[in-house]
Amino acid sequence: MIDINHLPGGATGERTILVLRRHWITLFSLFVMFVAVVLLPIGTYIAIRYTSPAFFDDAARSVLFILGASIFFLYTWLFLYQHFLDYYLDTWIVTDDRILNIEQHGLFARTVSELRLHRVQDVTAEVKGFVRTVFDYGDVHIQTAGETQRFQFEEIPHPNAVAKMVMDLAEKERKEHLEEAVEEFGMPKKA
Amino acid sequence: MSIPLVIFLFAWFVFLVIFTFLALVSVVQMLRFGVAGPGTYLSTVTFLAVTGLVLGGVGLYLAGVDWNATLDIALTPLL
Repeated sequence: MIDINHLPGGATGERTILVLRRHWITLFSLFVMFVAVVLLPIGTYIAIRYTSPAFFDDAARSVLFILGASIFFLYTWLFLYQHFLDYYLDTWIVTDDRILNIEQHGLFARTVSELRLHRVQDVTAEVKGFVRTVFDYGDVHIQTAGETQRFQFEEIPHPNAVAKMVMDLAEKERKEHLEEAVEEFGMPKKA
Repeated sequence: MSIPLVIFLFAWFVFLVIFTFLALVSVVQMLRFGVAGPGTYLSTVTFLAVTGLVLGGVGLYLAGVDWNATLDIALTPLL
């Protein structure tokens, strides 16, 4: 498990500021679909009972229905859990030193990217659409000086506040790095 | 034509074994890569609890079934 207070590869005394995931509303359509699918066996049972009341008088047919419905429900439940897992394991962690982008792709693929805060050049928040505006969630694009030109937080809550926080942290980190460089190498001489 | 009910039970077990394997892999992935906290534990416990409840309920029902009975295909009417 990832311990927020002891992230891998972190410096001593590193402090976690934010742990971000997609807004819960992104799971809503999946939840609605799950409820509809789960109601299918129940709906089927009611329909059969209504159209052919004697159908389930045969014990064998009842057993067959129970076996089929239980397996159907279990696989639907597993499908929901795996999609929740895909949502839950996509995490963006902002510390006072770096940003971690952890993306889960299915069950067996995972990408972890790391970005030092002092490399952040520009942060942009984007909220587009009626639903996103109402629920205040959107994307944050982080432009860097490194190989990954653009880090992206997708569909996170309060993107404007997060963008400002990241910018402030980056500015503070750049100042600290500048002070360290001056201490070690001295002030640059004017030409 | 009559099919013994026990055949369907074996088929159900096969599906259950596949389900168990996939569920185990999913739970291990969650516990391995999830952020330590109530969300990870709660979601895992909820998943396992509901699965256990369903399997327990179905198991109780199936325990009382006469598996020597057969399903008559010819006499099974379509809806």
